[in-house]
Amino acid sequence: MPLLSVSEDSAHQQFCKKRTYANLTDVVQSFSYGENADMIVLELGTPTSGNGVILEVQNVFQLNESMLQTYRLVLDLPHIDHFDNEINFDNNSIVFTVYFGKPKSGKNTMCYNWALPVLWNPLFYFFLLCLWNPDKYSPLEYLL
Amino acid sequence: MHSFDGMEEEDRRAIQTVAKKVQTIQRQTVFSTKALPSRVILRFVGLVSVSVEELRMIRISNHRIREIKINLNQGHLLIELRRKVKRPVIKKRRERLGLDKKTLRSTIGLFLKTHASVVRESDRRVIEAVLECILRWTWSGAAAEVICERNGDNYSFKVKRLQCIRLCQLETLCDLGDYVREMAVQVDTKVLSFLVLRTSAYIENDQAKRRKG
Repeated sequence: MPLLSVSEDSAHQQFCKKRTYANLTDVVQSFSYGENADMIVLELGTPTSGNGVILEVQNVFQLNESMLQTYRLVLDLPHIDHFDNEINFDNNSIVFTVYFGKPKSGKNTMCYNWALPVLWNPLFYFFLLCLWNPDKYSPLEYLL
Repeated sequence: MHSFDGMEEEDRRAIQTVAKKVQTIQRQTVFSTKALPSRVILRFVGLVSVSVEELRMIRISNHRIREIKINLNQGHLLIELRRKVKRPVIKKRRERLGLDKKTLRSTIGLFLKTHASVVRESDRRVIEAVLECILRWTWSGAAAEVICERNGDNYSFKVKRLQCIRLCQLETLCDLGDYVREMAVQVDTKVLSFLVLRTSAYIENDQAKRRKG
């Protein structure tokens, strides 16, 4: 269905959504007792301003700092760029808008990233010559 | 049943007027009130559908109406009434949306690309303006699902997955021009629907500008 949003629907996004939803559901279940026995997590949709997911914890009748802190800790993961939370006292709900970061490419690409500009630099080859025969190619030799 | 004890006569009258107005639109609506020191919140449940004209009629029914909001997620209509409390006026800082033109255009462009067979080239600017409006409403909130279909010379829009919509937001869409018509919110199915007419006026104006250039 055509969503009017900046976000893109990729496999990585789907994976992040599932993981975030599962993590939050697990934590919410552990706090579902007493007044908050009926707490449930619902997926409201995708944010328009970026790649992410909007999750709502419903039927929150009692708030405490440890519960909120745990929710925030669960959402402080490497694949999550940042998140906003909004407590709605009128509907007894907490809305988390989670934004995902860009997927990290393979480890080797980092190595190529710095190697390419170095290999293209002529100073690198001069440096190699200096190492190979310092007496002949060292810049100090020219100066002295 | 409503207990209006401890409420001023004027507040009661205002609630009564607004409630009567809403119930003329839909008889089976039930409402609840919440009286706060600065405002009274009226919540109407049981509305099936409401049009912009009907919402305007509700707004003009009482001068103390501050805001009219439809919570599509919960399926109710919220009306806020100002109370007669004089408080120091604090100037609210204007919040920026954080939505730049480039992002706006690229997002709308992407949407129009997928609807290239539906939207005519001559109507592109009008549809862009409509989509811009919807994107501004939902920016940094949940993305809306927009269905655009062409029926003859008209474009029929259906906006789904809207969480909440204010009357002032609907007015921004109406302000685009007379070609935005028949706007209605289906509260039960959580869909906003409207028509965009393909009038000859804006096409002719567009052609005249091109000739000048």
